[in-house]
Amino acid sequence: MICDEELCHQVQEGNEAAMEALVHRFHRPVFGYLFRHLENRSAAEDLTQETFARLLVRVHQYRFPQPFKPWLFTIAQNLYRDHCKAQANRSTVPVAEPISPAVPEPYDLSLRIAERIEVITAIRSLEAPQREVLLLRYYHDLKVDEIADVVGVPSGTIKSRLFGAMGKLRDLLGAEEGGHGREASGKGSRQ
Amino acid sequence: MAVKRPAREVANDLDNRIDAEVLSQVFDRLDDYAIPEPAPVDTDRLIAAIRPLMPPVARPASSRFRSYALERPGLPLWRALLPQMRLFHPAWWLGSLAVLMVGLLVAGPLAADGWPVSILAPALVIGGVAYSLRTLRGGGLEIELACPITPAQAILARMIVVLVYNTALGGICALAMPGPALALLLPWCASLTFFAGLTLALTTLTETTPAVALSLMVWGGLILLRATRLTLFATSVEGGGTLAQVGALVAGLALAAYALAGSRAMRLLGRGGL
Repeated sequence: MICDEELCHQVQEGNEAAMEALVHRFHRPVFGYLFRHLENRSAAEDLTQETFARLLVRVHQYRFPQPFKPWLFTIAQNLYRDHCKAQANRSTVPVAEPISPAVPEPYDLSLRIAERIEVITAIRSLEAPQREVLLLRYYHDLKVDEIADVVGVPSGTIKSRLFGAMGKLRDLLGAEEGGHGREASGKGSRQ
Repeated sequence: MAVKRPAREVANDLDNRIDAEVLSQVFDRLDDYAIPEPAPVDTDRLIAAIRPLMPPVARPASSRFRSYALERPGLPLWRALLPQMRLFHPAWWLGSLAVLMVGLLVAGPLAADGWPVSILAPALVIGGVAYSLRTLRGGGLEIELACPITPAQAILARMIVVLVYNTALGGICALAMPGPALALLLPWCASLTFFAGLTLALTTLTETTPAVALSLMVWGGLILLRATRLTLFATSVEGGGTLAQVGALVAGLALAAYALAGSRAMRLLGRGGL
């Protein structure tokens, strides 16, 4: 399989097939990242399109073979920040979609829904910088140094934010030292 | 309870201030954060929307370099040098010549004060290395992907251009100056080779600009140390001067070999240093 970096270089040279491959590869992750930030499907779709549009407009700035994924998430991150500033200037509070978790198996529907709402609420309760780091580290598997590049702060700050986020989630979700916690559902949704 | 890989990794990130097992429990819960996913039709729509923004199809630099080299049969060295020669614009050739002309003008007064002309050589070669390693669009991909030569050979070819041209300038200088040509040429070549190797080696360890700055500092340091009879910049070959200059020559070659060995040349490419 051609690596992301090689595909991006081919996009620099005007290869449309490479562009399509990159979009197929990263549409879901970028949308997921922005959706988890915005909690609004329509806004996440708009920003996802803007992210890929900006990728093409600025593709000449990409320098092979630097890692592509952090570079792409930096674009998404910057657009998200611009979006937040624009929202703040409009003085209208953006409307987050109500929590509507995917429907699980019917036999324990109410319990599963309650658990999912608990998780989403816990993540929403994190401060924005902590949530940003958590999303990139856990759901998108970026390394601490790569997150530092995306967010534009030192690695030490990223570790500190990650520590804060994990500590808060541990408290909110009731994970215990040496405990068994809730049984793993086996249906991870990392993307 | 089995601890999952992400939990172990994040625990390491946090220097194990939170137990991996606890993180694993948290991550099990985080997997519940299900989100909607774009359908294939959404991806197709996205591709259609951004397609007009595609950069124009261009003949890639890599192909230009490859065809330029392959269309010209000859010695391997020549085939390596030809594509690299295109990177050196007239401004560099003329700029180096101008520096030497200024050097010739001040050589007389310098020599009268006991300063050799070779003291100017580092300026030429450090500038030459920085120029030849300047950033190009797309980093060094043109070399890595397509040239019929390795990255190390490409870097070496650029170094050869810089060194040969500056040595030739030193030869002109030696002919124009009174005294035996070897006594002038040896310190000149020693100085060139040492600072070329040093700058190149430093460039593989840090970025090009700090490497150039460090080389300039070493140059300044050696000028200052001359007062303590460090003889790289000596006017006379007496008193171990020749030995020091030959030593500098060998050290320069060793530093260049260090920079070009193994994966270091690739790292230089990776940072877009070329």
